[in-house]
Amino acid sequence: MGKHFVEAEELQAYLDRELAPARQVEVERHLAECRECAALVADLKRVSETLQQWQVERAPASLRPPAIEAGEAAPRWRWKRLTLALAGTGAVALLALWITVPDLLKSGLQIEPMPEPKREVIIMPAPGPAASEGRAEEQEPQFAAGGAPTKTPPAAEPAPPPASPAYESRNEGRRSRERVVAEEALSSADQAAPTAGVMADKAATAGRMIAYQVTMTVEVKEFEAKKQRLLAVVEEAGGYVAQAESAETPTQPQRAVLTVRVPVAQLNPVLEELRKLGRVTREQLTTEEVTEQVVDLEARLRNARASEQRLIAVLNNRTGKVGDILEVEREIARTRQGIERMDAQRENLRRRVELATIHITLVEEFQAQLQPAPVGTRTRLRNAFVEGYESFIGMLLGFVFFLARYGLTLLFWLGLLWLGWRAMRRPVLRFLQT
Amino acid sequence: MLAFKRGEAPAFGELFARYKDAIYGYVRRRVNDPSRAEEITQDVFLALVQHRNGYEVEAKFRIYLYRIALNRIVSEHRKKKEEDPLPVNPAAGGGDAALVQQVREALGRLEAEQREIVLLREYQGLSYQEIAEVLQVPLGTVRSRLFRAKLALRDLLGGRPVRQAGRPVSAAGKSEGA
Repeated sequence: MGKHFVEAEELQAYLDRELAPARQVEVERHLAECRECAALVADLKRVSETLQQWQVERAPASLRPPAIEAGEAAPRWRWKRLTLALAGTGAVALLALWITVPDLLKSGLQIEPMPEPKREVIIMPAPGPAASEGRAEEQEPQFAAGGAPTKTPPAAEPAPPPASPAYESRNEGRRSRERVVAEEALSSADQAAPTAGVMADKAATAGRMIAYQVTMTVEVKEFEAKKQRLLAVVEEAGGYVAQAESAETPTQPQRAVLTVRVPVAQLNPVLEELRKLGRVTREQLTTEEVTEQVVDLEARLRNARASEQRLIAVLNNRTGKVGDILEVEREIARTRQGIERMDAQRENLRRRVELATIHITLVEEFQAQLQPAPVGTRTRLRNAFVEGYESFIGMLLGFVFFLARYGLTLLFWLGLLWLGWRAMRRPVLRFLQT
Repeated sequence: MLAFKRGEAPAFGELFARYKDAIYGYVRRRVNDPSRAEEITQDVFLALVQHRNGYEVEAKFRIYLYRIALNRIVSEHRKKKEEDPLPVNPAAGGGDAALVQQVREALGRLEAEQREIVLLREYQGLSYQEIAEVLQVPLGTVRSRLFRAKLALRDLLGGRPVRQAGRPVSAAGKSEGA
């Protein structure tokens, strides 16, 4: 077998006359000498001839050149298509908004019902005498610095305002309502005595019923002793502890959260005593007028009782059927239930008016934390893995929440961009090329 | 084409008359339905009208035309979710029907890239360079794919297997002695 000086692929190129003329001559010369290559060329040639057996008909006579105007109309159609696409996308977006917005309004954005009329004053420790004076000049309601009233009214006076270094309203928008309470308090301050019971006196004069609630936080040094003192003060005032909770951990200061109820007349003296326990870091007085509720309840109660009396009279003069009598008795029972329920409500309101509620948090003054034992490398490594895992899960969850929250919006804008790009791609590319 | 681009309408008629059979034949070998082949051919020339301003002088017109035709055929197959098949019912253009069927089946068994080159070379008569430009592949790739396709067709059409050709052909298509 002789050497082949041509590549196999060249044989097909030779047949197709795709070689350079000189190479064409060389291959031809090689084929004259090499029977194997000649046979392969013959095979390839035969394949081409066989392929030529598959012929197709000529273009039908109905195939006419397209009108040039039709071709020119196409760009307009493209714009039309783009307009249609944009209009369609806009319609879909509007539909999506129409579907989702009412739900959003119903769920997350719904307007909260108007709360019961409530007046609230937050009492905070004064930054200093100067600040207090400044506030006084602005005619803001304020109590005398130092807290202790110069004149303490008789204990029989119903409801006290808080006496504290300074106060400021929590919400500017509610200032007018707060001002009512504040002015009442100021009236007593004008007399150089922010006295207990002045507000309640005024409320009583005006025929109003007001429920008082005080929230305060006091930092104390001798935690246990001060806690006992607090309980004693409440007991002396004729009040009681409604709820108590305390917590103590090695690294945190001691803390006790108590809810006490004291007679309204004793509120101011009790508050004075509580302020003496330590440093007051927060004090807030909230009042709620329940006059309307009481009046309403009384009216409903009177009506219910009258109904009950009428029903009893009907029962006493019974002339109807047994079924009617039973029906009247059932009605009496229902009315009685309603009366008892309203009685309980009235009693509850009365208690709320008569007994002020004090939520007091006693916190031990901060002490240096115990230094925990040094953590070993293994523990730190393990903690690092745990934190890494939590961080990873958090990231995944964050991504999922992100998709849930913004996925639809993103999809919409990406779809819009894609449509725009699809429509403008060719003109833009052509413009860039030119 | 340049004359048509300049706005000479009769030039387009001349182009159409010159290439309509070639393009129709190219499309017809790839589409089963003759009327659909006619529509696609029409579309090809319509695209030519629409994109005449994008035609570049450097590009050979025939290449330009075949590229449009190829894109339309691919688009047609994609629309119908077909995998680049050859017509089930080959066009009647004469020849031994059984042999034509054999040829169609043999072409159908080729790899798509090889088949495209065979069709453009054997039936459309495009040069290697033109095929390379239509398919946008290197010239050497066209040459090697065509050679391998022809060898495969020889086997499929009943010729001697490659191994018995007297000179083994490696995977790269080169003979051992070359």
